[in-house]
Amino acid sequence: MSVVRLWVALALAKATYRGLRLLGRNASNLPGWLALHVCPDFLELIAKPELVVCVTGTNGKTTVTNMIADVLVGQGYSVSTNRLGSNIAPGIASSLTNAVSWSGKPNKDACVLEVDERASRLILPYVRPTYLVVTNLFRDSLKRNAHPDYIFDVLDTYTPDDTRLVLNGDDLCSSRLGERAGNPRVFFGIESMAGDRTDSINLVSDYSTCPRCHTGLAYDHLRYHHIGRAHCPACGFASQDCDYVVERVESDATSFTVAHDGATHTYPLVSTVTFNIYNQLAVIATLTEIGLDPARVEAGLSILAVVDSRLGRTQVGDVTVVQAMSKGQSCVSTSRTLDFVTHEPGRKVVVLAMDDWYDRKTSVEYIGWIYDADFEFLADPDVVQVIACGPRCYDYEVRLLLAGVPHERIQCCESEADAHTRILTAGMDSVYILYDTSTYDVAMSMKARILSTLEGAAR
Amino acid sequence: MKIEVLYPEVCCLYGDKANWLYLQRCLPDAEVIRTALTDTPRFAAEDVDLIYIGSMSEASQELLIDLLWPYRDRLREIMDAGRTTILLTGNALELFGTFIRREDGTRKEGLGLLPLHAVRQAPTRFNSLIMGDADGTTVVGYTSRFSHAYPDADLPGLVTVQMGVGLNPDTRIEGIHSGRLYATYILGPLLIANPDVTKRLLAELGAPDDLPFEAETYRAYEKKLAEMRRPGLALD
Repeated sequence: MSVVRLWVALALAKATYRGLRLLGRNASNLPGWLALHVCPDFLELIAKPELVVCVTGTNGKTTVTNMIADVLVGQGYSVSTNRLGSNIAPGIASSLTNAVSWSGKPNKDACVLEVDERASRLILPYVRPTYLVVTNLFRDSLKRNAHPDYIFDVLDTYTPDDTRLVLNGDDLCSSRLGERAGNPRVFFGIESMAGDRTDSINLVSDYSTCPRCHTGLAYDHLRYHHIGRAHCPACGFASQDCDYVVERVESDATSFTVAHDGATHTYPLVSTVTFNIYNQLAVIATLTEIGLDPARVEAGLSILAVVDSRLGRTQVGDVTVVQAMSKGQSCVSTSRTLDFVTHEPGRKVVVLAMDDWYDRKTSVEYIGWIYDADFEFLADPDVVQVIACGPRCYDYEVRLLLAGVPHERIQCCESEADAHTRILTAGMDSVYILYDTSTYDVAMSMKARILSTLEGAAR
Repeated sequence: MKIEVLYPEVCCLYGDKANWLYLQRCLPDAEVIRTALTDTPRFAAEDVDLIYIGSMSEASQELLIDLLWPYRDRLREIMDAGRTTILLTGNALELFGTFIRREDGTRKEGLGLLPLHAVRQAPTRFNSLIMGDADGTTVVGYTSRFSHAYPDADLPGLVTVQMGVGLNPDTRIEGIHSGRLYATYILGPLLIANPDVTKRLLAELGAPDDLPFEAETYRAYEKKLAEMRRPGLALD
């Protein structure tokens, strides 16, 4: 019976895929949804390619998934991936459908799948990946993901014991995955970097105490939040030794050297932002574990770029206007963006447009997460104006005041459409518009108005 | 004045840390004691004016019960004496109950200081806006949790819910107000979001009730209150 259900589900999914593609649609979700509807154990029963790589984690999983898939394709692998689709069960089912023929036999060399960390319990036990890459674990949306302990437990419980784990050795949270079950594991990390600290400048750290004896951890170096290398002064617990280590980033910032297995190799650096170095290192570690030699990995990476759709720059006169994605309700993502913005050179205006688009329509957004985000960075004297937009603008105002941003630098706009009427027209080098995934259109419309205002002022 | 924040390394989820940081701003002369997981609580040996515990993970709940177990008689004495304000936000209130029932049916014994028990139901997550009355003050907030609390005897509530959920889906009573103990499932920056509540708390502590950025804080509160009074609001 299962075989019949599987065959019907597969045929339906493939036919749906063909039909939707003819209509010019991505067909990334519906085929899988139908397959799971007809055959609930579709993910388990469908044949898989010999190589299945799943990528999960709080931040960076899309980048890492795409880079692994792109390098594999560049090196001659045929690959099915969910690049355009959802990272929950229907999207995974669609991608697996595309990796087999109508008769159900695998016709791709590999599947590379981005997996939502919370939904992983419904995916990993059935897909049984060859490799699971975990970029990092941080606190994220409290509604969906609760807290990092919960996500850790989900991943640790539902990852098959024989899946090989590729883990961030500089993340004390996710690097402990697979410890209990004895999964084969490799770790990646970065040696000391310029800007490393030993004390925290972030409001939140999801891993500040020893998991064995609860003593406060001493960080040998700390990059952001809990990312870094630490040890317990009381019991000797320490960060994992890493198998893939960035020894240095070359001074011209176009390449970096990775030590592995007693040898070093220099790779092109796709992005100089620290979290993207971690992403690229995860890719190098995974591809090497798969069996690509360093020269092939280097060749694959040399033609890639991090497509940063999250950042767009437009010049108007002497002012650069930048839209920067800053995931709302996610304090770590927002803190990373605030850190990035305040470290950019020159005087800047920061426009906050991160209020959730759907909550404002039907509900009242929970705004407490902004008290875990480092708005203190905006108290920098080079931030000459902050415009808080959206229905929660007055909550942002209080947050900014408590963060030390002077009253006279803060403007509130209940409607994003009015932000351009409040913006300074002189005295700054750049304007940063921080938007949520749900407010991209709002941010782009706002950007157009701001550009127009600045153009008018420049004439 | 002494404010003891218990185990801030782990009781810091969902923006709860803002509550004691805000109290520090309201009471600049107060001594804020951050008791770490490896420390002996200050309240064990001397009186403090306020004890605060914020939201934590379920694993941390069980660790905290173990850590506080040797001090449960002292906590009872403190609650009975009525000289110390105890503020519990998020799932911290569950520590003070008789037990927490885990998803597999096993129990973790609680401190037994309040007649209630909690039932966890992960992976089901309960998210809800909350608006209600607390002694004539309208309280606004949000809860997000894996568990509900069930009183085993009559308990004086903190908030009578007008919108949202109470301690569990079958009651309009949210939180507990017993003597000088204030416990609520509302999480995040409760004291910043509810300036009237903070003023009452400061008055109870015998402190001036001036708030930092008071006008702006009230403006944010009034705006949220107006939005929460819209009919047909999605609660989660």
